[in-house]
Amino acid sequence: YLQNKKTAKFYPSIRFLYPSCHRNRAARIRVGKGDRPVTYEQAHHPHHIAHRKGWLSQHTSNLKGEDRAAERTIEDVFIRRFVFGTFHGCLANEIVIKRRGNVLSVCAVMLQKLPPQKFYFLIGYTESLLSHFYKCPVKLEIQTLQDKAVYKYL
Amino acid sequence: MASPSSKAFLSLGRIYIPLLGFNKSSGKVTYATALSINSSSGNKGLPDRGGRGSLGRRPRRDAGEPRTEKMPVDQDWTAVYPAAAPFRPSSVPLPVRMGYPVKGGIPPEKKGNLELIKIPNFLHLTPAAIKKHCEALKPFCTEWPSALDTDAKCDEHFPIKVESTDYVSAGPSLRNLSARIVHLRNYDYAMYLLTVLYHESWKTEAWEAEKTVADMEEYSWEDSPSQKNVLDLLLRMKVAGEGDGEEVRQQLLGRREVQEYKDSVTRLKNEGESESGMVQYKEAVKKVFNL
Repeated sequence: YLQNKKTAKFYPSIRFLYPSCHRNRAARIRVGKGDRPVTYEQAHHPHHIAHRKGWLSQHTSNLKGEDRAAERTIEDVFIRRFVFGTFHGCLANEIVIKRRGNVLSVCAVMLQKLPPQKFYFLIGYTESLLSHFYKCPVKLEIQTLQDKAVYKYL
Repeated sequence: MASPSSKAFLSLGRIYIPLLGFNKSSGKVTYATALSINSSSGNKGLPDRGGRGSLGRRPRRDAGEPRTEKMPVDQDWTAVYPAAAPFRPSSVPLPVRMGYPVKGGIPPEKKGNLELIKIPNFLHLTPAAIKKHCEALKPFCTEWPSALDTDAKCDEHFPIKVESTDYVSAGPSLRNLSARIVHLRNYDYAMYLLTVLYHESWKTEAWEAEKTVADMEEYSWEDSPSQKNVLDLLLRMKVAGEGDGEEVRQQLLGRREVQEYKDSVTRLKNEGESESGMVQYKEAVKKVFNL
């Protein structure tokens, strides 16, 4: 039994043993050399939400007496991944999802990497697919930019 | 036009190259010949196909100037934002800035600003737009009755209140009741119920005439033992020689102390015993007996 065991270095994967675990690493881009462009969204850490940042997704399920907040969250996650993959490399920033009554409005800022005809096709494809999937009207509101809006360099 | 056909030709060339097993160089040759045919007819039909080195030209159309440049000052804003829509920096001619500034800097500009898109805007609800909405709704409305000018009057005449929520629940399902602005079905049913109850309460059945003192919901002092006792006491207290007539009783009833006694007893019986009720009763009794 002892012969079969490999003699490897002992590096237990137990979080509290290492002081670096005390640092919060959620949604933070760490300061680096100063050559990495970063958008406003990426530059501000999660504790700045409601102080310097707004919310990326808006719906009424989190108000008192309303339910189905979890379903809305799952829809949001799916829509973000879907749009990120459909418009691969074209997204300049995070997607903003707004729900007005029955309508799901997805607002995105894109880079002008594809010709307009391709954009129109992809927008129509996304809208019809998501409408059929979620059984509600889905509207995609796109703005385009030449380059990403850089807030600062980290 | 030449360009759609040339595009089709190019796409054909691209698809068939791997199928026919051409090696890369011959593929390039095919591509190059296609190019030479079309270079005379114009560049617009040539999208950049993944940037193959030598074809690094990006003959792409430049984005036109934003709409804000062409907007006249007295334009119809309701046409720009007719319905609720996210903020479009190229449609809003205001130099808005939003965000936390970098140290020693200013808030970021509106172009590409996600913060401006995140917040709900009311650009579709300018006073001009609201006027238009009101004009459109006017044919369906009647005048507000002029007698109902204070809230108290409204409450008095129309004690029934219909409650509605300020927001409409936002979700994909229309079946959710709070997703509709007015509970029309429920409202009608509530009105129907109230009308029925009101009419029913006015009808008197035959057996209602047999109501006895024990059935009464409220205590009424007239013809009660309390009234009789008080009047008897007063008569005996007073001049014995006045006589025991109906009019004497009526006269006594009209006196102020007796009225106060009546009020205090009614209050105690109807509202239950309380500190202030007992004090009132005590005062009334003292006055009746001139203590």
